[in-house]
Amino acid sequence: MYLEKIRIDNFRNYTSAEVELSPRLNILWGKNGQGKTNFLEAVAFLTLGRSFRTRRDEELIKDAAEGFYLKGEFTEDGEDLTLEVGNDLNRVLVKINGVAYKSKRELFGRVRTVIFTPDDLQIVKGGPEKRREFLDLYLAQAYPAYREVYLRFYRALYQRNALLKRLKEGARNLNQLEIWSQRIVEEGSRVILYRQQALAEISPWLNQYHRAMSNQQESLRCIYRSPGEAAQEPDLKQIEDGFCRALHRRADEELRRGYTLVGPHRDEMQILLNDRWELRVYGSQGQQRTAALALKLAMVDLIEKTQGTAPLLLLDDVFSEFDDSRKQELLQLLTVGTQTLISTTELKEEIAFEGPRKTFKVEKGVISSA
Amino acid sequence: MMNYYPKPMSRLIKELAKLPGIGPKTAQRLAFYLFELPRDEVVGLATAMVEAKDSLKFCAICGHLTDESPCRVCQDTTRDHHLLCVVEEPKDVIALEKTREFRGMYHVLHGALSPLEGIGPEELNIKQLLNRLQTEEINEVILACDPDLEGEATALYLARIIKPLQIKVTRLARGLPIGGDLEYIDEVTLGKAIEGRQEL
Repeated sequence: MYLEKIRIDNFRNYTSAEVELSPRLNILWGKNGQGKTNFLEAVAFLTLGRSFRTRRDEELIKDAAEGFYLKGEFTEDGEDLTLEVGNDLNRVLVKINGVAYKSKRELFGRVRTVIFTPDDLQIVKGGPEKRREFLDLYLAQAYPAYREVYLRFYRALYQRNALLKRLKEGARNLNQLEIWSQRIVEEGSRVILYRQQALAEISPWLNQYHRAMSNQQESLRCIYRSPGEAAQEPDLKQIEDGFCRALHRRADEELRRGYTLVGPHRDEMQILLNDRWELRVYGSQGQQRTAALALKLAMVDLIEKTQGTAPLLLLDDVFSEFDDSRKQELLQLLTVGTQTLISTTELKEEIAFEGPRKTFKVEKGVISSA
Repeated sequence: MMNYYPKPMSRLIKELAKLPGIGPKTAQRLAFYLFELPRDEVVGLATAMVEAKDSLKFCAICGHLTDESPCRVCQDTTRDHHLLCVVEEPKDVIALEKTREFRGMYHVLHGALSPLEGIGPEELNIKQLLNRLQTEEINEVILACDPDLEGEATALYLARIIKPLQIKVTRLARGLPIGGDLEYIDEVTLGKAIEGRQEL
């Protein structure tokens, strides 16, 4: 699947733009603050139904305009897909192949997209919630059923937390608590299973990408950490048993605190360098950035494998902190068949890439072929 | 907008807009429709509403919606009084009755467990259910709660408290809708259908 053509109206600093893209490499070149990231944000918004920078869609509307409008024309093996989304005086317009839908959520998952931005350093460096968010966004794209499983878990979790809060405040009905514990174990274990399987699946790609970008010096590995501490092979029954035991161990503390302390909503994905150093603590900024990028590239492979078609790859300002050798390695890695959009401040001549490519110049919200 | 209308009209619109699923625009349209209706039809509608409100109550035995208590189902001696089907709402009884497949008795819970909404076992018609299980001769309880998260939690809860009474507890099968297309069934349902497969 690739994006053939995009139209951007009154979005961020774009008044009106229409661009035809290369099915392979697209370079958005320009100084800072000209609209390169905004362009990537528009592409991401069309395919994910939300921005990677803000939850408030009003922020996306260009100053003095009443609403924005985006239209993307995608194609794969002669099959076309048109996605349209707009926000007009707080009314949402969503159209898929010309048919109107009520919610932006309908856009999600029709075209898969992997995004890398400088903020993704936080996936490695930040708190565990950043790593869970990362897993959830890409697993929902790699496995369509994951989103449903995940939502069911969260609904059970909110119910259980509401009950724990009431119990903390003095209500009594402990056998109802057992019921809700059973519900979060059933739903939550499936979330954990998906996450463990995904990490096992991306493991070779992850290591390969990180090695390539570190001059074959470093290896990288991710381990899923859950208080249930599952066995070597992901197995639903074992995860459920471990989850149950962990809940049991912290039952008193949960009643005292009034919320759920065990489950996939508190699990951790540990990132290890050379099999022993926890990158979050010991890594340099450069190593952390490389690892974050390797994680994203590994997700491209995972989605391609499970969905049978490569996702779009959006790389925002990916070259800025890489030295020349890492830059060249990265370009080598991009020779796979993924449509890629890269934003960069560097001179286009420095980007050596064999294959179909287009370069665009971005200046003050105007995008033109360069 | 309200101020542009004569008082009786704006009052009617306001009352109609309180109904579920009715926004201000629809309320306005309905109000005009009612205004244009012959007077006796309007009176008919108004009386039907008041009469329904005044004469309907919940059956003292099963909790179903009725104009006489006990309700007709509870009074029907041709039905199987040893078989009890537990549902969440009166409209679930109607749905099951329409199938004409079920000839047992009902018990309506009036909701499902939902701590978020403050609905616990005390808020549901469960005490009366236990009472019936102890006084009536019931051989089997069919749990027909909605197959959503709250409904399943409720069924689980009931199964736990009924089992010690040595009564058989079953629940409705879950799986494929008749006339459905296999490829369009969601993954969760399909998984349950495989789980509950039957030998031919």
